[in-house]
Amino acid sequence: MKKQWFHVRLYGEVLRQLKTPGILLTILCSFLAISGPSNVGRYQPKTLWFDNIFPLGRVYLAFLAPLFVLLAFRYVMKRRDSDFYDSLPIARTAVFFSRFAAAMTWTIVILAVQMTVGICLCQSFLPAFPIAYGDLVRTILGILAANLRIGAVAALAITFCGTSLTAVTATALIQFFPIIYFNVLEECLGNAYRRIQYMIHLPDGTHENNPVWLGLGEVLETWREIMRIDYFFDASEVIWPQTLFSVVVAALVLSLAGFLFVRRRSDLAGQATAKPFLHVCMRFGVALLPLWWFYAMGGPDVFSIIMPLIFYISYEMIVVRKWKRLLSSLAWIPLLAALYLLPYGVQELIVWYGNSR
Amino acid sequence: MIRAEQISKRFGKKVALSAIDLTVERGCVYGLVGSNGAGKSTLLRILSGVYRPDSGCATLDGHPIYDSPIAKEKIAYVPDELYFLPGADLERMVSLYRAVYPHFDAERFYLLIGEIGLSMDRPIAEFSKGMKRQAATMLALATGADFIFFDETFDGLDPVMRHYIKGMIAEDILSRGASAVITSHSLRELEDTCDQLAMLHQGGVVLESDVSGLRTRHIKVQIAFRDEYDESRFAGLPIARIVKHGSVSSMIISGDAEDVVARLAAMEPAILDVLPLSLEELFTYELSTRGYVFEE
Repeated sequence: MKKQWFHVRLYGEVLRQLKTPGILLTILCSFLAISGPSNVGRYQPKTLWFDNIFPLGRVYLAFLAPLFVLLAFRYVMKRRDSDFYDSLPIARTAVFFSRFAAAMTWTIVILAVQMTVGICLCQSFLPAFPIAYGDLVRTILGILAANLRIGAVAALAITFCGTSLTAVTATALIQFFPIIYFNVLEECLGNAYRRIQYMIHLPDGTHENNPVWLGLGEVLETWREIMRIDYFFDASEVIWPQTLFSVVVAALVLSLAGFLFVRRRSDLAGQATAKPFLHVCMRFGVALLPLWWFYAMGGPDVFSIIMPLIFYISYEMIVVRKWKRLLSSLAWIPLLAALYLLPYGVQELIVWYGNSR
Repeated sequence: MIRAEQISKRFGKKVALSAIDLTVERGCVYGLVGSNGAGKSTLLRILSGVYRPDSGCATLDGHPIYDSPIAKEKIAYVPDELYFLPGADLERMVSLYRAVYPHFDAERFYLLIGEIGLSMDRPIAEFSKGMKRQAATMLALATGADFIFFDETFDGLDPVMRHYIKGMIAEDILSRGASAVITSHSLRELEDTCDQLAMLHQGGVVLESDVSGLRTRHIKVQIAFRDEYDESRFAGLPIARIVKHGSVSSMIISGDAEDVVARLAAMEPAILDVLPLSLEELFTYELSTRGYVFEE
């Protein structure tokens, strides 16, 4: 029998169910598009780039898809709803891709409407300023690719979470935790390098001319650019490798999510995660998020030590809601502390090694 | 035919079903009875493809049901907790059902809804609990499915509607050779509807039997004598249960009804009446012979 990959009627039904948030966000984002042209007069750029037309657009527009994906798959969090949909004669692969497509459709609609409103406003009220359409297209494609990637991550989170809270948490952890940890590791290695650079003598001369060291720096810098979601924040422009990277990652993550969704237990509805081990991982992930603060402050201070404990206990209390389980989870605190201090420990170990030579 | 072979299912540490074997043939009304937490709803969810069993297999005509659109097209499931599309009216539900069930008979649905007087364009959220259950049942009957599962469906229905729905189910089965599987925690509910019955207890099937066979194998009588007597008077009769109040005894006796009545009549009783035997009494006796005793 031919495998069913898509169900048109279900796609239409989900589009309809997402109508209310879709229309509200379309109106809100279009309203936000007004802020661009109104600010331009103040700064007087020669050419209108994406950030002139849509200030902060890179930040909020990238989160449309995960929001709609979580809404489209919200039914799996409730037993009554999932009983109904899972009893229908529609293949699970078709359910997955139809719902994901419906979520992405609304994302594209909102982006398209906001773009149209923004461009029309600029052309109407700022005719003297030419629009950099090339930058607009490149940035919008980058944002779409980011949407696809984060939307796929949200779909992956759905496959092993049974509540909205854990699904949102898992999405944020899968998306941001590797980047945070990578940045922290990079910061520590950089700190260690700066403190020992004049103490280490490389075989063929000083480090400034060493091709291996310089090459490694180039690779790290490029990888850093690609891994960052800084086109949502302070990057100067979106680069094509970022977009391509997002599309490739999105395709891989979506394939994995589709594979896991078919195997997802319907009776997971209402439970935090599919396996206790995943719950422990998520608890640790949430508690380790303050790492960025710790290393931004240049090392331990009272606040940066208390924060992970607060995150850890708060998350466990909200998800588990049982004092007994909360108390038993405290036994993992030493491991949490070890993971938290690991990058700092590596940094100090390298410095110690450099000093000892 | 739907077959459950060695189906087991657990939720965490709790064993919901343990090595269940049962068969639902076409053209029958199959009753699943059991107390709360016995595993009836879990079993129905597995047989309708909502849950995947931890072990064992649920098949329809030899094909696994789970994640199989071909098998699920032949199954309609009316759960205990009903769900309708958000903000939908019956017209929108019909539109969805027509798209997913290839044999959905919209004309029949409109006819059924017209007979019970439900509005097609009123939001379902405004329906009463009983009206929602009627709507869900009619949608299931109109799917043209070969197997229709009703999970505690008659809850919330008034006696008139309950009788009407039972009539609809019987008519569906007769005309199309379909089967219905009905769960309930009350044997009385299923008494006049089912021709096959299974009882679940703590995740296992403790008794499975055809109802007519059960009835013909036992007879209930009330008997009284003018003189004093005790159980020894009935020596030689296969008495399953005897309750004596004063001079009147109620007995459930295994065996052919005519033969039993003839033997009792030969004792020249003052009173000898054959009484209707309820399924509840039959099951209680059958289970007691298997070592199950249920607290009142």
